[in-house]
Amino acid sequence: VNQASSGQVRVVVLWLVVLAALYLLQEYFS
Amino acid sequence: MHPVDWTIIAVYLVWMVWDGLRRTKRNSELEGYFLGARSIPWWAAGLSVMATQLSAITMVGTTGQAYADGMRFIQFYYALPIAMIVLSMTLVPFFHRANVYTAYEYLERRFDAKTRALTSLLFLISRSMALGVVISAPAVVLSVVMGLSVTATALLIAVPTALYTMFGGVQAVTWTDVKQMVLIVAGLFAAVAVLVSGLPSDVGVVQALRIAGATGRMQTFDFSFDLTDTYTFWSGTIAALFLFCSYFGTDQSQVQRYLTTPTVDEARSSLLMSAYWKIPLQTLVLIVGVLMFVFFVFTPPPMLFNPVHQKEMREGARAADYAALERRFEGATASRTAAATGMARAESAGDTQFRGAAGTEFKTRDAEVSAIRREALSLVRETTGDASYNDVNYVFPTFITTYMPVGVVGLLIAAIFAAAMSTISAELAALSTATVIDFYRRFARPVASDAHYLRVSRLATGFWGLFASLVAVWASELGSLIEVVNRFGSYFYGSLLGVFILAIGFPRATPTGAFVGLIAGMTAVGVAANFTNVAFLWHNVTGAVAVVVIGLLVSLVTPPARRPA
Repeated sequence: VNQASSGQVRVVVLWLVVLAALYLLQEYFS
Repeated sequence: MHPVDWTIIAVYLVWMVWDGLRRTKRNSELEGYFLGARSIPWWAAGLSVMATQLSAITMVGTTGQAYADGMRFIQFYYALPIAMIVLSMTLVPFFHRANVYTAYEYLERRFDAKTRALTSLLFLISRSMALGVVISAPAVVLSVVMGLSVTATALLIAVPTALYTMFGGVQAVTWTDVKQMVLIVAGLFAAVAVLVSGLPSDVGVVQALRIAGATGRMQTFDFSFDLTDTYTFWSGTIAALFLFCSYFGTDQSQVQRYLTTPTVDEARSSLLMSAYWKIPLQTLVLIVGVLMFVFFVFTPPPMLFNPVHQKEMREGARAADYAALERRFEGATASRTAAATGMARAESAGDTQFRGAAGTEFKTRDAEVSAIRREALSLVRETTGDASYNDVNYVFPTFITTYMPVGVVGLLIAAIFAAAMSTISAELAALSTATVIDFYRRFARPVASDAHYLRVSRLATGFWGLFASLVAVWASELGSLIEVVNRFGSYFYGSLLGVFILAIGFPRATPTGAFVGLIAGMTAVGVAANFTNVAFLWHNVTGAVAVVVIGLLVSLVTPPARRPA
């Protein structure tokens, strides 16, 4: 269970990082 | 196309069939054939999940869409990682522990046979027709760029896929998916490399993306809340969450992918692979489209990317009108190139004031080019009578065959084949599994040897392959029928999710509640789709919520399911 939940936390963290990167991409190039 | 490219495509097709046919581990048993003997490693199942979802329509349509409209389509995928987490905590462990072959089989255990039969039947109808489109869409585009008939390209896609799926079962599907996925990603990176190297020497990637950004093509977030707009942040995070939970959690073509892993944890890991990689991969696909836009800012683009239509227009009754448009188009693209060059120079010199002015000038010129292209498209639609003609689907294939070096052309066309075949094989296996497990074994022959079921399964796979190929070849004649069935399929997605929410989330839900709820949900979506302008993604929310609410209300007055002893 711990292994599964740490995988899920990693997904959420990475998801936020990717969204932030896409937002910066938009702001930098627009 | 050069003979080298034809050879690469031929080698690819032969390799896939050979690779699929040699997968025979416990393929004489039903579990080996349908579930890969539950021995597929998580990473292969994960790549298979991604390859199944990425169809040739993504390769061809999405790159074209990014060429015309930019990155905003990426918002569609924002909810995907969250959907994967939700599924890995809910449906995945349920399916795995229930030891089922199909998602719908689980519904009989929880509710009753009629709910299982109805959901599986709806899956068979909607998926088999949708599969026709999955074949015909790339077949039409490839026929134009490869100079073959649509029937020939449809058969080139469908026959090898049906062959290895029929004889190799799910193991063939999964292991060919893995290779197809690698080919697709390699193809996309090759496209980026060719596009970047094709830019003028004084325009780097940063300047190229700034040029695209000046026209709004780098927009990745649209926070406006508009229920009629398909691609906004809100539809991509809320409505698409329901779609992805339904697609990855209840569509047999996806459920079957992760049922092949040995443990629940491996099944979870295979889904989480998409959670990590889907948005970056889709960004790559869209970047290819955006870079093609910039490439064609500096390289004079054809006014129409479909060479067949272009030739027809130049030689047809409206040739004079078309020639006049072409002259205006040439002038407008030349002015646009000049404006972009000015912008890139200002960018390199760090002259922000001039860059702003040059950006505005470029935007105006680009709007002019787009307006002329729109005129040309309506002229084509008038002349050919093909009201649904969409030129953007031809941008990427035409770019590949016109501007890519020999060898890379073959690689990229093979990658488009791979994208189509990886989706088709999984769908064929799923259709066959649902036919045999949910209908044949359940109602026609409950007791028979594995050898008997295997023969029937291979026949079912072959039948669905043939059926989808016929739908694909006659897609143009069947146009409105396919549209009706696909619309019907979209009523089904959210509602099906609703049934599974009732099944695992509400112990009080009764079989009759689930069955009535499903019908009510589909009716609610039908009404919303036909009498409102709400964008299709939101129908998934309507369907799921309607099923749960109506299902629970009906459950209050109907008897609960008989519990197995």
